[in-house]
Amino acid sequence: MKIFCLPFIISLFCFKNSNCQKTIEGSVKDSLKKNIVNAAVTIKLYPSKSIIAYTYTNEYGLFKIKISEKYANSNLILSVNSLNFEPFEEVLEYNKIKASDYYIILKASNNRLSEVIVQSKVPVYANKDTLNYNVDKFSNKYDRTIGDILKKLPGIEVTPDGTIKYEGKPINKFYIDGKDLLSGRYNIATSNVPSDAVEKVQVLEKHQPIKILDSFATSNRAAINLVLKEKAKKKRIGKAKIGLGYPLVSTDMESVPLFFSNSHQTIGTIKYNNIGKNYANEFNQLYTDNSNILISTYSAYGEIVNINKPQAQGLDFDKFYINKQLSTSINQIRITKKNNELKYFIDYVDDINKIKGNTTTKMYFINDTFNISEENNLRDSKKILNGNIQYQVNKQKLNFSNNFNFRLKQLNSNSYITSPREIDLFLTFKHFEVSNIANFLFRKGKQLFTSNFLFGITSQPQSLLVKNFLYDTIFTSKSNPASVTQDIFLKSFFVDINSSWTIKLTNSINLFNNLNFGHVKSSFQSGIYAKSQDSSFVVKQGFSNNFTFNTLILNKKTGININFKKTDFSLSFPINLTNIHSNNEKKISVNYNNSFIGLVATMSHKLNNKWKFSTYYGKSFIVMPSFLATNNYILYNHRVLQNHNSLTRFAQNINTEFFLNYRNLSKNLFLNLSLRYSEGNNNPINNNRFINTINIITYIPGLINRSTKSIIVTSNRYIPKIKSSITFQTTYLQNISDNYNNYTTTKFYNHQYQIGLKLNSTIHKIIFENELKYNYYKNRSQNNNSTSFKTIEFFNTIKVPVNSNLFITTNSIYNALKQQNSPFVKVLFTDFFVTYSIYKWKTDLEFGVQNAFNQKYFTAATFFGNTKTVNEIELRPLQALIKATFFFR
Amino acid sequence: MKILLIFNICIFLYVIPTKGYSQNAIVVKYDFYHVRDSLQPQKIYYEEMMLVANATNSLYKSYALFAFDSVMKRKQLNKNETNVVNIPKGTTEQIFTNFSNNEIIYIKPWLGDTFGIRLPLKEIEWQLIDSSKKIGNLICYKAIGMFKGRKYTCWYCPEIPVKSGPWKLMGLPGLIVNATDEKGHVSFRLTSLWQNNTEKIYIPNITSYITETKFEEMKEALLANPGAALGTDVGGGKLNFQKSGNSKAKTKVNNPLELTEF
Repeated sequence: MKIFCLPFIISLFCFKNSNCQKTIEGSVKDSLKKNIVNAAVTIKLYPSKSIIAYTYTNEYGLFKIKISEKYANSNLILSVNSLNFEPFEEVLEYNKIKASDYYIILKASNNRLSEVIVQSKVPVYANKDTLNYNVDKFSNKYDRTIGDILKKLPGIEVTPDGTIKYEGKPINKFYIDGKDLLSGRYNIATSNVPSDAVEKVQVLEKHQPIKILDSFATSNRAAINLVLKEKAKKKRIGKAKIGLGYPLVSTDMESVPLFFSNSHQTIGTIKYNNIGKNYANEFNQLYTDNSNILISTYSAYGEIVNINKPQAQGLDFDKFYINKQLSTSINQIRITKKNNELKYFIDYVDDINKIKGNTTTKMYFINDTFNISEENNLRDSKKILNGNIQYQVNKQKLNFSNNFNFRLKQLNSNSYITSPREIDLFLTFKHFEVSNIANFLFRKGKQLFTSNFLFGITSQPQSLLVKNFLYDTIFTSKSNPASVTQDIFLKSFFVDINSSWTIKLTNSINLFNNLNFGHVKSSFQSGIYAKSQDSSFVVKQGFSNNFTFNTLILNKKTGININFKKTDFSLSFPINLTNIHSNNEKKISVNYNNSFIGLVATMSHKLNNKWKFSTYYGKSFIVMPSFLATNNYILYNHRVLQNHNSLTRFAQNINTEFFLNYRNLSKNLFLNLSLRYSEGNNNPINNNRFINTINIITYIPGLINRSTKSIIVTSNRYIPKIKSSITFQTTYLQNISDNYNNYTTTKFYNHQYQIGLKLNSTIHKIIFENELKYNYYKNRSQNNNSTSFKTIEFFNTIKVPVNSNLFITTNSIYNALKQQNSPFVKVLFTDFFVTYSIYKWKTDLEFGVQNAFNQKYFTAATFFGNTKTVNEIELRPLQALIKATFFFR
Repeated sequence: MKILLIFNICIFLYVIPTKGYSQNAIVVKYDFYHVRDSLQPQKIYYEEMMLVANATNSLYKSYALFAFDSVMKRKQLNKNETNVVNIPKGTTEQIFTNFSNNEIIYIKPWLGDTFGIRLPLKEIEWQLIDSSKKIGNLICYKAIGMFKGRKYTCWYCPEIPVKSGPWKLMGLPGLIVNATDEKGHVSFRLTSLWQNNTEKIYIPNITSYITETKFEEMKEALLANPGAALGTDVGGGKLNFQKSGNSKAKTKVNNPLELTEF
């Protein structure tokens, strides 16, 4: 009987329950009485709006929704929502709910959902060979350019000149949205692309920029790509700045328009300042795509005469540079309909700058120490026009590019030396260079053929006028002419033809053969002229040169590339044959022949997802430009007179590098160990002799040996919770070099130990950027005569928000130098800025006071080989500036 | 006057949708993270995914594929473009959901063909939790549900009244913004969202509709006898797929997305 009763009792409960649960039924239609399908119907608690039940309308626009009895005492909201309709809400009382009289009409809405961007929770993640940094995770509201972000990214190092390094190695490409707009002048991007225009910074590991080479050659360098936000594309963005202040009239102005789209990118810059900023360093070429060793070596060494320039290592230019600088550049890339690239850039710099300082040079020899001290007022006036036009077809089976470069430079320097005696130096240097290089690469089956053709011409006339220096009777039979002028005319013409053939033996192994033919024809004339106030002096024999050089270089390289998934290996044997033929003005010909076999090996191996290592070994040979090997003397600067009794100068080098890299992305931790060793020798050895105050260097047959060792360990970690990054770096450098005096060799050992700690952190919305560097330099000769000095550098920036519009920035730099037997020289620099952001006008107003120092001079010391140089540089005066920066977003 | 009329007709023709499902879609980008090998939790597979959804349909696919399709569409319009476009790497499967028919179609490319597998839509039993938080500027609510052997915690946004979500997660009273399984091995996170009046939800051209079992059989047949499966005879012999040395380096998938059938 009990068993029969049980279902009855249960059914009673069920009946009771179903009676208490309320059901709402209804329909949802639009204003034209059409059914709205899949509208979300929800019941929410009032007032918390927690959803307790939901359903969707069916194909007839009908809905049925049940509400549990437990909400009997609650007030409820019936809510209906559908895309593109205005939401409907009605407050219900549970007890008054009726079953089926809900006939809801939704009004159409023209309001679109506003775009939503949600920050990804991961600051760094890897996707195959691409490392992605989400910029939003590293940025704060004080950041203005992408350069501000890059220096905070773990695993990436930005050196003071702007070079970006990943895993201790400089990058080989810098892309903006996949396009190489700037051809290595990427300081333009890091200084000007707004940080809020960039969504991600990508590191493309083992990046091979030429598509056709992708499976034929590997690269152990990485590239950087800035992935732009959609909102930054297809419209003009950029900034314009006006800054004026004291001392009257300090000026800092710029205008930087930028435009990025899929088919076109443009960056223009125009900047003028007289507050010590060196904006022209944005145009520094930090990598080159089409460099030719011949033309770059000849251009670099072509600036022969010079004036000593006081240096201030580790100090920003705007602390001591008195300048007037105009720098402007236009950079554009266009992608044609056939997906080829046409790009060009033109840079122009007009820079007048002054540096005042005191330079003390000590040269240590076994028995002697030479000491030269000069107080120098240097004024440089420099005009540079530099440009490039490039067209590139970069396809999987074909690559063609043509590069046309030009460069015009004029430098006028004047150095007025006040102590120990008044000397006037005038330097004029002009540089004109035009070159064109065409590259052609194509694939046929498993074979790759490449050819390059370069021609170029450079002209570098220059002169050094020295007034009132004591030259005794070095140049003339009568002592001390009032002025001596060194004139040089140098012209070179280059042709370089390169061809190579690579065959793919298997998917992983390639063999390659490369043949290069280079020809340089140079003409070099130099002469010294001496004058008194009213007449010319007759200059002795041995101070004029008149040569033509024909340099022929034949280079053959055979090698193998092996690329497995985790391991890349490359080995090549360059063979170098050089012939130099020279004619002097007396038509006397001299021939020089040299052959050299080198070896270049690289290897990289990925141990697992965290560890990898790479090595490099290279044995190479460089023939220096022949004009460095002059028979007769050249006055290089007012104190150095040098000749060379050989036709050539050459250098042999062995470079070895080892990198061990660790990264743990879940902990945002990067560790790098780099070991470098290089040794080399070059001819000639020099004999340093001093006559009065002039250093005469004469040639002695033989070789100068030198070697360099370095060990750098870097640890870099980012802690997302407190938006902080910590970098710890220790460096050891050793330089060993031979120094000759009185036919005796002395080895000198220069050691540098550096410990650096860098902190970037955000604590309670206050930004702290700190960097501490401790350097210890020890220099020892083989006879154990040693000297040492140490420096401490501390950089501290604090940004404090006052309210949402206003923040205060203080920069302070503490620099201390302790030389042996001297007290500490301490300099404290402080800058102070108040920035007010008017978001409505996208404008920053800034008031800044800069260059408040406790010293008038900054002292910097360096030691290289047997030479110690101490520079005392006069610092800029106190300045106050009001700036308005307008951002176009 | 005639010009005006022609102009208006052109505009009218341009504005009227020619094919595809209804307009006013929302476009959502998700970051997808998946620990494929539970023994190596530090190795996280990552991919950007895309959801295009409106009130009646949705399409979920790889963002790289979405970008590739856009390029291909542009190339079809501009026939002068002759450059090679790389086929994107990543997920090739697409998921099309038709809420009106309660049907889900898995679109699977296979050896140049595209197969469709139709399955009825299975509703996930979601438990609504009285908890809310702001993600971006979206006010989201929490829900928990079991699906394919994993317990997912989702945050959905009632302000965006679509049934859809990433992958096969759907059926909440608003767009699923974030979803993470309880072990933290699978995660979908909305990174951006916008409304696009011109975005249409297309089903790609499907060669034929087959069953899931048939599709698996085809895959197995290819591995067992590639020559026969491809319809090619290799010198009368058998074409074998050999494991290369590199295959060891691939990440093992011992932790698939779907742990159970339901």
